[in-house]
Amino acid sequence: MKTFSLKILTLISSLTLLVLPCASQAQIPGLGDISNAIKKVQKTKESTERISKGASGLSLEEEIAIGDAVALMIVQRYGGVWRDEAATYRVNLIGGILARYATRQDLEWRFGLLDSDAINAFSAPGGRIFITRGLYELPLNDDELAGVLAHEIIHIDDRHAINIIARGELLGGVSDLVADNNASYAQFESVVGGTADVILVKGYGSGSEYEADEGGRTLAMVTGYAPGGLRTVLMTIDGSNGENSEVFSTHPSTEDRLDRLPNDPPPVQSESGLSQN
Amino acid sequence: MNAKRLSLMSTCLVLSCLLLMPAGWAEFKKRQKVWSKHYETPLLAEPRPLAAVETTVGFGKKLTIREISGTWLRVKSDEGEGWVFQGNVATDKPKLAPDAGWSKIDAAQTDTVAAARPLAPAAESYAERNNAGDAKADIDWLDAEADAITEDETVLYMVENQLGEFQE
Repeated sequence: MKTFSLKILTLISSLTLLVLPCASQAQIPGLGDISNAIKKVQKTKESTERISKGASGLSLEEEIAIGDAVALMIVQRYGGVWRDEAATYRVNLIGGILARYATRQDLEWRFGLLDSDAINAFSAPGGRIFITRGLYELPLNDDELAGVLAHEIIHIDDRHAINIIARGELLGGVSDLVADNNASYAQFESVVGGTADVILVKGYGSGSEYEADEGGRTLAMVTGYAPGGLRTVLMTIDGSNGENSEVFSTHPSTEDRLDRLPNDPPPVQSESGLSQN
Repeated sequence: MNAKRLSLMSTCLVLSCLLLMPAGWAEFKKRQKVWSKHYETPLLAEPRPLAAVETTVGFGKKLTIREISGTWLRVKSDEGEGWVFQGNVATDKPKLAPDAGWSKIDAAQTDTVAAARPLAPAAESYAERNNAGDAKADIDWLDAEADAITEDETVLYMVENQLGEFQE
């Protein structure tokens, strides 16, 4: 009798052990509570993994891959690269000097001009920065150009785009594609499209823009450029009465940005000897 | 109740100001901790770029500010003390070393400001899939122009225009 009871007990225990791992896959009658508990644990684990990914951000490899693809989209949408050698030399020389003092020394910074009349500037993750011909030809002296480029450097230095991507849930497949494994092109392109949408249409948000204004002003100043460079550019644009159809379209209003920047005097005309056009 | 509300509003205001402060840049103070952010950061005997090198610190080393002179900071490290230009330190510990870039050619193999930097392979295949061949050619041109700028001409330009550590 005792042996029989022991056998029954062993059988019930074995059945329970067999059933438990299945509980997360399907509702077992009478085991609803356990099933829900396991689901909860799984959900918590997934959330923890998401938070962990968001907190650590993308790998540098992923950031550069996404940023380079976004750069291609920017170039496509804004008339291609303006292949003016003197102007490209100037933006890369001044931009490169500013980038020497950026916090992120892990990036290879690149600066380019877009062949567009719009007045705008963009930064792609990974260190690629673009300004439009329309903005370049306002014209900008060296202090003003440094003010604009420093603002864009701070967007990358402070990982504004990367933080937005990392907060999202579109990252699946990016690592595989970057590693050239069984790539999910659709997922990669979804992340690239979402990032480009933030950079070209929605913007980073006013908080990040004000941060880039102030941080850019400091970066320009530390590098030796006049702190009022960006302010002067914004005042020039503010005084143009919206003659250009696209003026810093993804940024907060020029008035708001001017209100928040210190009232630095306009820089004196640069004498660097670099051709502005 | 009003006092409580005022206190809450003040707290929110202070928090907002802290959040709006740009990361990585701040006014420096004596005894503040900062970090080296380059491969090698020389600590100099005097606050000027061509002064003798007292010691050199590697990437991500904690430094304590002892003295401030204009844009220069005298800092103490485990390796010794010396002067460093403020643009060469970070107020937050940098996350990735300068050699973290996976696409970099060894910097020692080139005399350009940045080592050759082609488009990432994933972006190249993105260009193929999305008929972005012209945009890719544009970026290749841009990279070639940027890569042609040498370290020597950059430093010369900085000296002539009193930029970075060459400010007077």
